[in-house]
Formats: sequence, C-alpha cells, structure tokens
Amino acid sequence: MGYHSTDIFSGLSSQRVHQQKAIIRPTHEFPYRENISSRLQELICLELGWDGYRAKPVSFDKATFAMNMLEAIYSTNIQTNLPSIVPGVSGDLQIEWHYNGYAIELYVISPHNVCASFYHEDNNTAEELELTSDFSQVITWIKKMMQENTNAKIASVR
Amino acid sequence: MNVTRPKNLASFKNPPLNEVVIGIQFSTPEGYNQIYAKEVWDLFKHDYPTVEDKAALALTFETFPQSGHNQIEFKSGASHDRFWFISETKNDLIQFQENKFLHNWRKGSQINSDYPRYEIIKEKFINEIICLEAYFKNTFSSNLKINQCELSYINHIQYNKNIFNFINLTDIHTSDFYFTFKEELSKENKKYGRFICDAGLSLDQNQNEIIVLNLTIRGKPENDSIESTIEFIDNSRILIVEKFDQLTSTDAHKVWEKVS
Repeated sequence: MGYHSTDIFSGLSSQRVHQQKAIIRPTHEFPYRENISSRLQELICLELGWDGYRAKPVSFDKATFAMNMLEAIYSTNIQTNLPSIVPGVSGDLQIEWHYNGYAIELYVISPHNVCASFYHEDNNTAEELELTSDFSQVITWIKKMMQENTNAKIASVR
Repeated sequence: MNVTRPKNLASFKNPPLNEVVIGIQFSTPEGYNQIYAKEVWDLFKHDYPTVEDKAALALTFETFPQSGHNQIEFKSGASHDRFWFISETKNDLIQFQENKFLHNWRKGSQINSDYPRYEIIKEKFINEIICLEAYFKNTFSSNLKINQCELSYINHIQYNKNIFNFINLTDIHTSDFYFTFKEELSKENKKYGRFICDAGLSLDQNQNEIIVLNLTIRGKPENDSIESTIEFIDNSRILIVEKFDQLTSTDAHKVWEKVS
C-alpha cells in the first residue's frame, strides 16, 4: 500500500491520507461513448485553417463540455441514433440528430452557452432555446422524435 | 469586501476541518501557453516561494439531468501541468493550470495552524483571482471567463461509530466503508450545481483510523465574472456549513464544541 493524495475525492485536495482500499467511483457507460469521444478528439486536433481559410480547431473546453452534455443526455438511457458532430470556424461545434423528418441541433458556443433548436421539415414544429446546464428539454425532443417513428411502425403493422 | 460571518450560521470552536479548497475553472485565454506559467508564479511568488509541478486536473462541468463525469481527457498536443505555489508555512497553496485556479488552506502539524475561518481564506482567494485577471487583461486582453466554481470542506474526523445522523455505524460490522451522495441545486427553478458528500475510512499519517468527510459544492456561477464567483462561493459556504451541521450528530458537535 502506498501513500497518495486524497485525489480519490474531488481531486482538489493536497493532503495525504493512507487509504486502506482503492475506491472506484461508479461511472456510467453510455451508448456511443467511444464514437463521440473519438470524433471530438479529431475535431480538437484539426489544423488551424482546416476550412482553407482561418478556421480554428475545436477548443478543448468546448469539446469537454460537449462530452459532459452528451453524457448528461445519454445516461438517462434514452434510445436514439449517433449524432453528427460538426466543427464551427471559431473553435465552436454543433451536435445534430436528424431522424424521421425531425432535426435537433445543439450549437455549443462556449461551455454553458448552448443554442438548441428542434424542428420538423414538413410541419410547423419549431422550438429554439438557450441552454446552460440542464438538457432535460433535449431529452423530451429526442423522445418525441423517436416516438413518431414508433407510431409510424405501429400504424404500418395495422 | 464583505468579510462578516452570517448570523445564525452554526459555528464550532474546534472543527475537524483539515482542508478548505476554493476554486474556479475558466476558459484558457487565447494566446496563453505553458511558457506564461512562470509569469503567473511571479504574481504570487512573494507569498508562495516554493513551486511544484503535478499532473493537470481534468475539466469538470456539472450538467443535468445526469452528471457527466466520465473524465475523458482529450489531448491537443502538449499538455499543461498543474503547478503548486506553496506558502512558507505550507498552510496555503495555490493550484494553477491553464484552465483552473484553486486556493487550498491546509491544516499543518504546527501549533499555529488552526483554521483561520472562511472569510480569511476567501479574501486571499479573491485578491489572487483579481490579480490573475489583471494579468490576463494586460497580457492577453482577456477577462477571466469563469465557467465553474467549487468550494470543498475536507474534514478528518477521529473514527467514532456515532458521527453521522443518518447512519448508525455501531450496527454495522465493517472494516471499511465508503459512500457518496449528490443533491441537485437550483435557483429560481434553474439547476446550476450539485452538493456532493463523500465519506470513507482512512488512516492519517500517524496510522490512526479517521473518517474523511468531504463536502463539496460545484457548479456554474450566474455569469462568468468574479462578482458572480464571490456570490456563488458565499452561498456555497452557508450551504456546506448547514449540511455539515445536519449530517453530523449532536454527540459529535459536543466534541467539536458547537457554539451556535
């Protein structure tokens, strides 16, 4: 057994205690975790001027925030497809789900500054919100998007 | 700067506090890289003459409805270290990395290392981040853009089976335990952070069995300014003291000499 700092807790402490056993925090595995983290890693490593002009790579804090945000959404066991993650020219990024005529877009301008929109190509559904920390509304939108598909399947079976 | 203690807040003459950490997380200013860390140390070197380097802490954001703490660490080429700037007495410590700034007060083994009280630690921290912001403005034409604040009270409690109000350890034959629970915090129906309580059995440096009780509040301040940070940590301090009072037993309060 070796001495280590109390990083088992918040990681901020500097004092040393002698832990008798290693403590492992439970972590949630969420769908597409690997795909999403690899995509974000790719976007962080973009070359400056990747668009042929002066576009910046996605910034480290925006990518980390986006990862946290997607985990907050997917850890509720919501069933949906893998989102597209596209870089913006200012180091920002956009996360998009397109399914069954619906589109959900989360534009991450900076950590805790997200412009969220939900719309359908054929009807008048269109909502826009500014979100900071709570992404419960996105889950409601995803459920609606997926529910339409389930309803369509049920109707076709009948 | 307001440094008065709120009335009716529980107070202990002999609290089991071992460490207090006040911290912020911020967006790295454009143009900053590790070469500038020496200039940051120069700002504080007079009071913190010793420097040590450590691995950087991962960025954390409190998000909802679930917490997103998978601690994925992205790489973008060279990584920035976390530097410890340590005071002469070793009781005060600044932890600095490109996107975090923390002030730790640590109880030492010296006789005069009693808890100086929150107001004193907070005043030091605020002066330090004001100084850091002035440096960022001068060098990178950028304010501190604060995206998360954190306050932690880390208690080292002599092991006693009757410490907590919500669990009686005398009924449990255990050689080890660890628990954590979290509570969502809201203001005007808007979630902004979490209260996190961690506790576990440990041994101190003298091999005495202790309970490490860590009470933390972490979240997003109202906006990215220093004024909002002060408001966030002041409110967090009140909540942490109230929670500590609620979670621990009357018998334990007697040992810690509760006075109000």
